[in-house]
Amino acid sequence: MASDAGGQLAQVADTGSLKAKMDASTDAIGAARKTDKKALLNLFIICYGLGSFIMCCPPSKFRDATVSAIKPLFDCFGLYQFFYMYAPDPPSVHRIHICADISFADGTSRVWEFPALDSFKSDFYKHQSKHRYYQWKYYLFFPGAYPQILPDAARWAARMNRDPKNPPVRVVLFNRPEITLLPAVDTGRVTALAAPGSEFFTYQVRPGDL
Amino acid sequence: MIDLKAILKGWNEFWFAPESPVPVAVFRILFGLIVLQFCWFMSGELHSLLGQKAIVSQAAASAWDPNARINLLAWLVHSDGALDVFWIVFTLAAACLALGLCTRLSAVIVYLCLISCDARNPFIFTGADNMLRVESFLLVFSQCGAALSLDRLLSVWLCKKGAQGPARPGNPWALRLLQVQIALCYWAAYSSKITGGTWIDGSAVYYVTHIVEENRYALPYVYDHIWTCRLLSWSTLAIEFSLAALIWFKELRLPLIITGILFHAMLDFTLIIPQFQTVMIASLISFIEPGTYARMAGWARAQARRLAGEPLVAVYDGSFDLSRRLAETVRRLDVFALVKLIDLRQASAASAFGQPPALPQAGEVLVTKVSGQGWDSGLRALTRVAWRLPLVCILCPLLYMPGLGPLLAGIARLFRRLYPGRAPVLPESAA
Repeated sequence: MASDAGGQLAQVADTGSLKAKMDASTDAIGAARKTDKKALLNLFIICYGLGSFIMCCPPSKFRDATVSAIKPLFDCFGLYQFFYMYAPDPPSVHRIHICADISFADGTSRVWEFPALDSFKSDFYKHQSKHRYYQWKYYLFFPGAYPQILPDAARWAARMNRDPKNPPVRVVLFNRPEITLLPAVDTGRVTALAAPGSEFFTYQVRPGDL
Repeated sequence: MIDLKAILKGWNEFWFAPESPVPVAVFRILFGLIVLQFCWFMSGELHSLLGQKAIVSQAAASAWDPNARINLLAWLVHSDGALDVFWIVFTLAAACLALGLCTRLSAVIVYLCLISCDARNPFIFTGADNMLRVESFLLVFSQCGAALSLDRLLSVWLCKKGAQGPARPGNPWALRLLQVQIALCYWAAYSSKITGGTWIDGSAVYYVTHIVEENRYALPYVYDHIWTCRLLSWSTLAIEFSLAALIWFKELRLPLIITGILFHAMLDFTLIIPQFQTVMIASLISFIEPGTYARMAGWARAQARRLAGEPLVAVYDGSFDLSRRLAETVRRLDVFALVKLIDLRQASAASAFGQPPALPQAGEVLVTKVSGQGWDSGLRALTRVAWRLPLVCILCPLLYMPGLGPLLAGIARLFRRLYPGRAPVLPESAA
């Protein structure tokens, strides 16, 4: 009887020590996991911070080489960053006119201008919505840099001028910038000079484009 | 000698020392509202900008940047109708993010939608959209739903014992990374500007303010005079440098935040760059420290007390589940401390108010007392509280509409059966 009680006591003691050991090992696993998590977090912070810093630096050989290496990863998650903010110099363009010379099936033609932002100034919502076209117009303004978007721009101009009875057959894109001139000191006035227009893309419209 | 341990300690404190979630929650609300505005502005031209026959096709966008990108619009949306549905989901997620409802899920959806828009047509987005994308990514990892959110209010009713107390300090690493990101944005602006000639000679502001399509209000004289333009150009460089480098000094932080906000407000008055100034102002607000928010709240409470008079005294029974949850809800809604909640179990309650009201026996959850008048209970008591905190109105019908109690009790039983780990909802205790 006594040995039975002793055995039970020993068993209880064993169970207690086992529980304590299990608690200790659970705590150790928890602490190890926490350390691993923190190490990973530190690694992420360093990689993200360094990557972002390099992307935000002004162009240099080192910066360009590093960015081309890390860009695919940042691009994949939509984290590639580029802040233009009128740097290194703001454009000396008073107003950009991107126009389309549209030829129709009957042989007539019309010059159509892409949305100009200043015409929507009185309507806040419209101005904010149409600003996206202004941003896009800037890419069209440097046609050599972004040739991929030119056919779509010509197709869109054709769609904006579609007429089932007299469909557009050819679109010629050209720009006509106005250059801002710096005023003489103390006699400032808004000054602008219209530069000669230049054609930069020709597109033959297909029926499916409309 | 450089002490490595001190550096490590500083690093750990900067990124991981627990901090109140209020600053990131305030930023979340502003961010959600800005994304809502983004959805509103884009919705007018949605099909032209991101649709099947948009100004830039998906093929052209992919040809320009062949890197693989997360793009839900390319994977899931193959018609303009589907694009409309996508936009509705995006807008709802932005609204939920602002309200703090299912906060993390909302943040993930907003992030995925923003990066998908950028992948679909990168030619229409500006620096503001760039910031929104990056900030939405970091918001996913932050504790932005831990304060000032519907999630926090709901946790009072959905947690097993009912969540209690103020928002717990949490790990602020995501907010810190967001702040680093904002400082980097100013660094990018400053460092690339000083490589150009016009910012150094001071004529840059003249050119910027004479881009007719971006000009909001043409101020006479100011932007036509070369010396004013020089002063503004150099001030811009100084402000951008300060916001990148000096904002990290505690003593300079608040004056610089105010300077930055004024700077962006002035830019917004002059130039129309959709959302850029609001995004940057909201970003700067994320730098405000919890202590400053506490001081601001203290000031606002003093003003509210001055206008509304003495706080309304409301007594509840802390041992009664429903009563405790209701009191906690009122406490969380009461930003201006217009209601003084007293737990009946506390010894101080009886001494402070003489005859304590018999709450549980009367089957009531809350009684209120207005100075000079007697005690009110039931719907009357809750209505008194609702006069001070209008959002409490939502609870009135839930607690007092005839027949609603048994219905909710049934839902609670079902909820408990389906999710045994979670709490029974209120009517169990109400019954």
